[in-house]
Amino acid sequence: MSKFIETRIAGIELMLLGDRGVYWDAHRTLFIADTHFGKEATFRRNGMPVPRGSTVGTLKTICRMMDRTESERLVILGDMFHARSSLSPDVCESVEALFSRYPKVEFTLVPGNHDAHVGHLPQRWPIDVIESGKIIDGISLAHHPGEKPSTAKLMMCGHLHPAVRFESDTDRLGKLPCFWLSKGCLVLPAVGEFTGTHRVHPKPEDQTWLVLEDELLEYRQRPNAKRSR
Amino acid sequence: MPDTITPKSPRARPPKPRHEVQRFFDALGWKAFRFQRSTWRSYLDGSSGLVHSATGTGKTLAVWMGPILKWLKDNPDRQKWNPKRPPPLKVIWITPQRALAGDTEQSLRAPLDFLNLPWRLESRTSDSKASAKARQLKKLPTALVTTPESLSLMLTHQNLLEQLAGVEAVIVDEWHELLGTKRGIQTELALSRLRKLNPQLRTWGVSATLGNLEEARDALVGRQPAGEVRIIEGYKNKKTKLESIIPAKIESFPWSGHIGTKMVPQVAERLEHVHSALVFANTRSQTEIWYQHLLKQRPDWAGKIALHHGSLDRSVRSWVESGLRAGSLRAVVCTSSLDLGVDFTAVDLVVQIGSPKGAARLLQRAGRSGHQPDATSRLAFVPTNALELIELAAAQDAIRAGRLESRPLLGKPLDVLAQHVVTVAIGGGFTSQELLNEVRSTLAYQSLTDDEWQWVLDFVVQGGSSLTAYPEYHRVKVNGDTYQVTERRTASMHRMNIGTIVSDASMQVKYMKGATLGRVEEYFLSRLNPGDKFLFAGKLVQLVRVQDNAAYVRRAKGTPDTVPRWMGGRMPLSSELSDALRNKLQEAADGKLIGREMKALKRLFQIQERWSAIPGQNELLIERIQTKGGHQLFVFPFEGRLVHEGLAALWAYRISRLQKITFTMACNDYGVVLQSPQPIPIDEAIRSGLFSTDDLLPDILASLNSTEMAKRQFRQIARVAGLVHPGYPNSRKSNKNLQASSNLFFDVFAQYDPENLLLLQSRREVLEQQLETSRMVSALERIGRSRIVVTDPPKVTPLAFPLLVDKLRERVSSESLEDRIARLQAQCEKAALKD
Repeated sequence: MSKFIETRIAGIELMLLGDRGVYWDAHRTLFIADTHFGKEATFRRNGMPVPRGSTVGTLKTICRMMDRTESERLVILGDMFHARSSLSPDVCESVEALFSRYPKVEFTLVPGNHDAHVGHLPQRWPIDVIESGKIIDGISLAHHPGEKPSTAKLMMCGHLHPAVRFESDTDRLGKLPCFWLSKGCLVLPAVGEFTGTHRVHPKPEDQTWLVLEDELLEYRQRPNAKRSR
Repeated sequence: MPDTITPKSPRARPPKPRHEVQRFFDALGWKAFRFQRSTWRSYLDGSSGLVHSATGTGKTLAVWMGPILKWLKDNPDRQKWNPKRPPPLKVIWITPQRALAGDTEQSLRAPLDFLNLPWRLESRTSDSKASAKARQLKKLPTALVTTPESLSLMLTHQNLLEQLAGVEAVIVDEWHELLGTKRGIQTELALSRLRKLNPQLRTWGVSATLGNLEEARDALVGRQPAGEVRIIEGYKNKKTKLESIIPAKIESFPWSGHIGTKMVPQVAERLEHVHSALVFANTRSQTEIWYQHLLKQRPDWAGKIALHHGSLDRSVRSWVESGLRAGSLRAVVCTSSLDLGVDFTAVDLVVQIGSPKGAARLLQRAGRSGHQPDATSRLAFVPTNALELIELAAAQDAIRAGRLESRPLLGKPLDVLAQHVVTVAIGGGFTSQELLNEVRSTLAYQSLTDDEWQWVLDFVVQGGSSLTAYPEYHRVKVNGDTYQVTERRTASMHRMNIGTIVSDASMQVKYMKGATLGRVEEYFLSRLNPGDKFLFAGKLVQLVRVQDNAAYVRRAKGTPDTVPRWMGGRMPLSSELSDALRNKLQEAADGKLIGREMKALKRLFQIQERWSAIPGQNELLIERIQTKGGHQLFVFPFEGRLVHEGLAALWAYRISRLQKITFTMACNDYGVVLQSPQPIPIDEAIRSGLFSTDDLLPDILASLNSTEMAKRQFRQIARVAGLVHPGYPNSRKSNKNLQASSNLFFDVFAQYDPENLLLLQSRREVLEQQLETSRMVSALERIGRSRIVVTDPPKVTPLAFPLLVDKLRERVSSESLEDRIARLQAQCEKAALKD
């Protein structure tokens, strides 16, 4: 187990981080997905008492990755905010603190399904919203997993909050979030703290990296294994 | 009461209420029992009380005729009786199962009709029609049959409070079912509210006989009852006959197993000679299997035997129940679903398959047969493995000695209190001190501290303690010193979610043409593929597809691939029965085999003795044996499965501190097995305090994945306290934005509001209810006084065998997470190589 794993996918050198991001050194870019900022505020607005803190916690994780990698660009692969009501004053303040902490960093958002409901972000925020499907040096950026465009070497996305169940007849560790590479499409785990996971069933030819706390472990799927029920 | 002299002109006077009731009993051909008359007298005196008996003879009429007599006394002039103007609400009758409301209503109606009382009697449950409920909101009937949930719901309607204040009595049926549960506590709180509205309120309960009747009474009537409080024992002279169906060939009867279908021919033969029988099995899947086997044994019984369990469609269950009532069914294979409810007079035998787990439960089930007061209750016990015969012998001893189980009470759960506080805030609001006094008048919350109360108020007002910020959150608002809910949305959301029952998500099972068979848990369905055949509702069906939250099936031929396994209560052996069981083993160790059951086990005891030893009452038997699975250590405390689970984890943990070792373990009601690839240093472990009670709590917490367990417990707490909402009213758009699992809530709270009392509650509930820590402590204390007997049997002994064949599941390890993962991966790869 280690805090990061360097790997070569479709000829592209990437570093997978235990904090649930992907660092691309060639472009000094950090990719993350599904931050769901302000989700707890939305819950509170709807009568569910969820304490504050998870947005700040998520931001701390992001800053840790930014500092360690010294990235010059941060790309959020969708679902930056959970809902319109997530943009509460204290959440906005915390997110703005991220922008001002890295004045030279370029922030980019590939909008996801949640962002569609959020509407426009404040004008003053230094973040570019780009269209899904944009290709940067061979990597196609999207929120929803899908078929990799033929012009790209790799597709990178989020949305699924992928996790696998890790167990044998005698032991079980429960559902663990993972990076999931399937047919040239790399799905990132959700970086947001207050987000759930969705169980996926990697195929034997897929590649999967499990996240345990903040460490990574490559997971080799049993070939010929029946879709475990 | 001696009769007073009758006045000379009887025409001038209306008939005496007592005579009216007598007339009703005469018409039925019954004679009022002494306990019934004494209940009526107490009622007329303004007393409250609890009527109990092990079998259900006449308890309903005992409590129901009280209010009727009182009304007849107060309204002697029949001229003024007007059925078009029924009296206002007088009696609330609480039933624990809404499915029983209809039957209850019927049996309560009989005396009303006979006496031509102008009362209106209605039910109000979640099954009631919306139109009826709306009408009731304007004017409640004279007597209302309802559930704890519906009663709480009524408290949210401010305009009902005036009518509720006029209630003379609340009668809680089957109080033992509610006692010791969160629903029981919900009932206690609702009762405290009603007592506040009418301080003269009488509270009466009907209960099976329990080991802790005083507590049951105190929980029912609260700490400040208006009048006297009585405990009245029901009909005592009921004869009960318990017998075992002993396997014809005890030599070839298995030492383990829980289904017991080997006994089908003998049970079928026994059923030949009865009019109507209830066949109780311990799980729903077992009922399905037994029903099929009985039919195979006696194909001519098709249509004469039936199946009844809680997952079947209401219409199916009603059909079975009316068949039982009419006496047209020879046998019904059922689960505890038929433990409650109206008595079936035709039933003359109860068959119990497998361990009843408790003496009180066995006695109560027996009481479902032989319902005429002079008839005998008969129960035939069917062992599913040889050792269960000891359990029945032990249960008979416990019953004879009157050592029936208690229903342990729950301590002040804050989730239920939070729900109640919001209920009251919707139903007109409250001031802090007044409601606190009211809440403390219940037995459950008598020791509620000021801090806990303040936390609950903070929780409903601002989401958590004032130190933790919960901006934008509002449920209850404070105006001056009044706590109120003003937002309609909050109120309707709360009403939808009132209650404490949290069930696993389930789906309807339907035929393609639309008839509904019942419900199964989604968990089971998720393991099926279309085409898989399974037994359900007594039929072999095949899954066609899952669509729109329903599983569509068609009839199938052949053999089932599986039987639905419903998640359900895995009940441990009660401590009373465990105690009696150890006593039985002492007798066997002394060479005294008393009773048919014990005599039948003579050979088994001989083998146990020859290979190892029969543990006496003051001994703890440990057997060491090596099999191809590795080194096995069997320990037999005979304390019930839950305690054993805790002990196994604790012992494995303590041994694993001595050396690096990994255990797998299994437990049953008799003992535990620890298995390891390497020899287990038992002597050294005992010397270094394996059975010690020192540092028990920290060791328990360290040994168990108590966080995982607390997470599971939190699911219910989060739902009851209103953290998680299963549904929203009038909202057509999806609420995906507002969905999060309770696991996620648990993590967020644990991290950002660790002092949240709901978290602490879930940890406490795990220790108290799931691990039965107090039973663990007393078990270890008993073991500490016991002589430790370690044997090395040549083969797996009769006592150990069931443990060995149990699938080993839990695991304790002093290896690191990384090691475990490495091993898991290695195992996966090994398996892969084999493929």
